[in-house]
Formats: sequence, structure tokens, C-alpha cells
Amino acid sequence: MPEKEKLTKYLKKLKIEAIIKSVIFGLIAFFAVVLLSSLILFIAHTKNILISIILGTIVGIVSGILIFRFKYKPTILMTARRVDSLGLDERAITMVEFLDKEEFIYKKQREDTIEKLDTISEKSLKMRLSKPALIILGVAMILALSSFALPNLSSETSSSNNASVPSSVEVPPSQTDDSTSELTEEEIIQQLLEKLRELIEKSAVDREFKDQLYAVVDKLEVDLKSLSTLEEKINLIETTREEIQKMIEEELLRLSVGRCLKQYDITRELGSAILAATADESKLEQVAIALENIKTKLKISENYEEDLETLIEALNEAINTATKEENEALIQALSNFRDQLVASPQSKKHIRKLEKEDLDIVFEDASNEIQDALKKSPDDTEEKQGDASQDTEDLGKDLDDALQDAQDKLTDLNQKKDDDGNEDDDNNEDSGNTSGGEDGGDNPPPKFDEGDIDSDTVIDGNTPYLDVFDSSREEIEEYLAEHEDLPEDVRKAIEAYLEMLKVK
Amino acid sequence: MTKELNEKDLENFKKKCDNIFSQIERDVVGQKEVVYGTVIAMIAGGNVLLEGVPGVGKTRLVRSLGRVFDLPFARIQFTPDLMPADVTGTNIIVKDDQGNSKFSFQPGPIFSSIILADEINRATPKTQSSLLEAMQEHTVTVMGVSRKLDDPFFVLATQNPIEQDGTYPLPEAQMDRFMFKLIVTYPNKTELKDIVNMTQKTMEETAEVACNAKELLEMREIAKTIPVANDVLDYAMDLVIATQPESEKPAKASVKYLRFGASPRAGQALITAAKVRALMCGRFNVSYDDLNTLAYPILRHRIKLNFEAITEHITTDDVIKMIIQELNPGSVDTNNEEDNKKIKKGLFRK
Repeated sequence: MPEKEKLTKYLKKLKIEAIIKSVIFGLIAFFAVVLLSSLILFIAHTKNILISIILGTIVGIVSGILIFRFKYKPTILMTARRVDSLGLDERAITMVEFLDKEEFIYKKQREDTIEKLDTISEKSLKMRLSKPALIILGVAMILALSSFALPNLSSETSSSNNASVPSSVEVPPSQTDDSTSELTEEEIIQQLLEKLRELIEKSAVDREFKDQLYAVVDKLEVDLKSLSTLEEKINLIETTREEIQKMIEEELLRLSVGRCLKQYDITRELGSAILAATADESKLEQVAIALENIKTKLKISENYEEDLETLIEALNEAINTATKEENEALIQALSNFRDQLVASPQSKKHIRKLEKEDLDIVFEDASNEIQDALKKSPDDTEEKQGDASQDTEDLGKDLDDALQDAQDKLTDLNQKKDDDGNEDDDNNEDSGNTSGGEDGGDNPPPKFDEGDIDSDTVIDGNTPYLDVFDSSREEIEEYLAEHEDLPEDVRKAIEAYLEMLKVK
Repeated sequence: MTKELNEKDLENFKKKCDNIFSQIERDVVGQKEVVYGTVIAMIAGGNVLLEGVPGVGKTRLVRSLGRVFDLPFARIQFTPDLMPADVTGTNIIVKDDQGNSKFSFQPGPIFSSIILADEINRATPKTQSSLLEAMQEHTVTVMGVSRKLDDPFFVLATQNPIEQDGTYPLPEAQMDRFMFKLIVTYPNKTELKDIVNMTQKTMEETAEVACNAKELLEMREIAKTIPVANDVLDYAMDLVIATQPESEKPAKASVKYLRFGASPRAGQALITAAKVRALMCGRFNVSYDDLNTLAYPILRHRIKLNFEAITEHITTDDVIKMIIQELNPGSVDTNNEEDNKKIKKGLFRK
């Protein structure tokens, strides 16, 4: 039909417009998906631009095709409406609607429309692109492209590892990448020092202790100036960070131990002394005095065993507050003290309590060890303000030494107890005396036979308690079952002891 | 229409319209929109209510139309003591040749083709309502006997908007039967000068016959054949529905300013009148512009303003403009000073 042909040229133009609109919509969808997927992948720490682009392309193409097919694809009626907007006064739309009518007035109307159509130029049909759509496209494009600039966390981690920078101290991604680096060496160092200060500030230690740690960082800052390469500087910072972290942990441990001991009457004074302890000799003396008082209290106590058990319980709880830091000097000292008091509960050979006459030596050792451990805490301001690296090394060495000393002493004491126990066994076998008696400590329970005990058991204070308790208990129960001749009071004492050791 | 429409018919339509306007111009100076609207209504077969202050040429226009269309013309001066029988006619007792008395119907002035109901709001509602049947069904019922009026039949009524004492506002049912309500405004200086000069020569109308009843009916039939696209028809219906505040799709202006909107007669009038206007403009289809232009005379007397509109000095024409603007953004002329003032007031969207 000639009437339709007249509109075809406009239809083609509108198709181009529809394609452009669909492309714009598709691009908006593309950029939106890229932006969203980039954010999601960024949050998931698996940022991969390629995935975002592929996903965005698929969504963009599909949505563009759908929007063209169902919304923008022009029909002859839509074309007529657009052409009418050029000043045809609804002639075109009327013509299209009544194309099949053959009456005179319709023919006349079509002639009139074609006549009018001939007077307007094809160029006068301007392309109508939605301004808001273009603005949205621009914004989506900028946001999506900026999302590419999001730091790649996974690559950051790997680059950080390559540069031996601690993961806990966040290093800018550009730190080890010279090609993309915009930060100067000085800025990197400053950022790392700032992270250290943040680490200190966030720790749950008191202000005084924080100030001491800040002084360490300040000294580190001065020391860094003498180093030439970035790698050396980062290594020094890393070393200092580890030391500071260790100091904080030790301080927290000291505080928790002190608080725990304060909960028991018998160790309240000791707990307070540990909480107040600094490198100051007078304050350390308070620890010695507190221990001396406990010892005196035990010696004069009418309920010696009960008080001793309470002391052991208090020490156990204090030790248990530091599950991870069980090798720390203070814990080690307390563990040794506890072991000496119970004559090493891990040992299957010694199931008896300390006798009063041994208190002096045990308390003296404990006093020395605990004071040594507390001396090595970071309260020594003068040391902290010295050379940072040297300080760290000294501190590590001191702690190692203290640990080694404690272990040596424990071994000696165990050896001594073993010897005493053998002698007692011999005496018991000779006399056949199996009664506990009123004085308790005079008649210790009989020792297990050599054949019942694994002689290779390592008694080093480091074996987890729960690993050996159940098996040891079973062995003791078997032993009791086999030895029916054991006196009832001895049997009860053993059972009470096992009950006391049971984890509550 | 029995005969097939042809090119000559369309040419004649245009020629006759031009001739009608040129003849009316001989008697009526200015008032082009009023004349234009009145002629459209007459071709479309609708009644017209002319509203204007005294002396602006309402009666003269109607008298001139009576001459131009060569149709029987009757003038009824509406007064408070006018009775329905004075309009419709009544049965009177007459004596036949044998001297017997019998009732004989004496037709009233309404049995003409063009009725000038001058100052229609001065008559009582009872008398006003005597026109209802004639205006809608073109019949008159007296003493139980219905009599058909001649075709074509038009009522061209006038009313004075300022002298409200002793008047009876037309009921809505009567208002709805007028296709157009045209506002006759004061002439401008040039027009006034022409009026004075013209009437110095003679006060008589000088217009000559331009169209007879048969030709007028033919023109009406031709106009009815004009096609209306579905989009345009939809728009006309939307326009009417938008005036109804409680409809499914009311315009915001209707909800805010109107008590009630236009009846279905408004929709019929819009399309019928738009077809005539399209032909007069030399088009063979109805356009949105036809509807927008005719919406004012067709809707202004069919919608009722609420108290809020009255207090804000909003007129019915303002509301119609707001509705058109809402349905067809961009139709308000921003070069028009009056419109710009109202845009500033927030009445119209730019």
C-alpha cells in the first residue's frame, strides 16, 4: 500500500532509535551488573573483573533484546503517532487505523494525509532519547568503572606475604608494587607505625602500660632512620610488632592471673601483689611477702590438707586462665609451684600432698620464680626505652631462660620426690604399716608397683592434664581392686584425691 | 444519508461555511469565537447558551443567524410571569363552520427552527423546564399530545451573568442540554469603533441567506462521516472522565476543585462538534486540537466548582485548562501572558 510505504522511511528511522534506546538500556544493565557483581566479589574477597564483565555482558545483551522486543520495537501505529507529532493533527494515525476502509471519506482522508506527509521532511523526525536514561547510563558507567579500582584483596594478601609484612598490620596494596606505587617509602613506614599504635590503643591494658608501649614505638621510629632499605625497616617493624603483641599478651595474662588469685582467701594477698607488681623491687617484694604469709598460714593451719587443696585449686584456676600462654614465664612459675605442692599430679608415681617440712623450699623456689617472671614483664620502662630490637631479643631470651630454669627445677624436684617415695615404699613394705594415721603426712599411701606403671611416662609439666587423667585414674582403680588388703582409710584418701583432681 | 458522498459535497461544505461566516460578519462585529462556536453547534445540531453582559450583541447574533440560515425564527423574552403555555402553545376553544365549539391547538413560539430564548434565567423554573423536552427530543407534549418540532431545531439562549436579582439559575438538567456555553465578551476598541460606525447607518440586520434547512442537514450528515481514530476517541473519553472527581481516573484539578463533572452528553457533544470543526479546518479526521479547543464551551457549564475553587477564584475554564494540561502536557501556551501568570501561581504545569 502506498500509504504504508510513505510511513516506512519513518519506521526505519524509529527502528534505529529503538535499537539505540535498547542499547542504552542494555548498557545500563551491563554497568549495573558489573557494579553489583564487583561489589559482591569484593566483599567475598574473590574479586575477578572478568567474571563481572562476562556476567554484565550476558545480562546487558539479554535485557537489551527483551526491551527492544517488548517495549521499543516500533510498529506502524507507533510510527504514525510519532509522525503526527510533526504537526499532522492525527492524520497519520487515522489513516493507519482506517487503511482497509474504502468509503469516499476515508480515501479522501488518506489523500489528505499523504499530501501533508509530502510536505514534511524526513529529517524533521528527531531522535528522542530520554535524558534521564542517558544520565543513569553515565552514572552507572562511572560507578562501574570505579568499581574496577577497588583494591583486590586476594592479590593484596599475596603481595603482602611476598613482602613479609604481617597480615595483622594492613599494608597498602601498592607497598610492594613499585610500578603502581603512589606512596613514598616514608609514607609506607608511617602507615605501618600508625598500625602499630592502633594495635596498642585497641589492647585492653591500662593507660600506663600503653604509654610504655608507645615509647617502644617512638624508639622504633628513631631506629628506623638508621636503616637503609625498606625491607630492613619492614622486618624491624614486624619484629617489634611481634614483641609488642607478646608484651600485651603477657600483661593481660598477669592481670587475669592476679584477678583469679584474688578470688580465694588464701591467695588474695598474692593476687593483689601480682596485680600491683612492676619491676620496682619494693612491689616485687610484696609478692615474696604474700607467699611467705601463705606459707606461714599453711604451717600453723589446723586444716593443713584442706588449705593446701584450696591453694592448689586457686593456682589451677589461675593457670587455666591462660590456655594458650601456658609456656609464659608466670604461668610456668605458677605451674611449677602447683606441681610442687601436689607433688606433680601428672605423675602416676606420686599421689600424695606436700608435707609441711617441704613448704620452705617449695615456697622459696616459687617466690624466686614468680618474681623473676614478673621482672621480665614490660614494666621495666628503662629497658623498654632502650634499643627496641635488642630489647625484644633480651625479653625473648629472658623468657626462654626463665622457662628453662623452671623446667630444670621441676625435674630436680620430681627426681628428689621420686627418691623420697622409693624410700617410703621400702619402709612401708618392711613395716607393713598401711594405716594413714592422725598426722596424715607421716604415712603416705602406698606407691604403685613398678609393673603397673609405665616407667617411660614423661613428667615434664607440659603434658595436657586431660590426656592422662582418665587413664591414670583407671589404673589406680584397678590397682585398688587388685589390692584388697589396703586399709579403708587409705583407700578413701586415694578416692578423695582422685575426686579432687577430677575436672569440674 | 442516502446518496454517496463525493468531492463536490465536501467542497460545498467548505464554501457554505465560508459564506455563513461572511454573512454573519456583516451584522456582527468581532466575537469570532462566539460566531464560530455557534455555527459549529448549529451544524452539529446542538443548542447554545450565550452568556454575556447586556449590549454585547447576543441577541443580534441570534437574529442574524436566523436570517443567514433561512430558517423560521422565534424570539421568546423570558420574564418571571412567562408561563409554559406561552412557550409551547395551548389548546383554545374555537368555533367551526357549523358554529360548534372545539379545542384547537395554538402552537407556541417554540414551533420554529431557531428559538431565541432571551434572558432565559429570568423565567421561573417551571417555564424554563418547558424547554427540556423540546431541546432533547425535539418534541412538545401539550394536553397529553406530543407534537414533533421541525428539523432542524435549535435553542439559542442568552443570559446575563451580573444581574442575579430576580433570576432563576438554570437547573443542571437544562444546562446539560446545551451543547455549548459561549461567553460573549466586550468588544475591543477597534471592534467597538466598527460597531458604532455600522449602526450609524442602520440598526437593521443586513445578512443574507447563506444556507437553507436542507443544506444545513446535509452538512450535518457530511460531518458525521468524518473518521475518528481510536486514540483520539480515547482521549475525548479520558477528558470527560477526568472531570468527574469520583471517577476511576479523575484529574488532580477535578479532585481539588470540582463538586461534580461532565455527563456522557459531554462526550457525545465533543466528538460531534469536533467532526464539524475538523471539516471546517479542511481536515478529514478529528484531532486532539479539535477536542482541546471545544472542551471549553462543551465542559464549562457541565462542571460544578466546589467551595475551594470559589475561594481561590478559580474559574471553570481554569480547571478545564488544568485537566487538558494534565492529560496532554505541553498543550498550555507558555507565550500566553495569562497562562504564564497561572503557571506562576502553580495552576498549570509548564
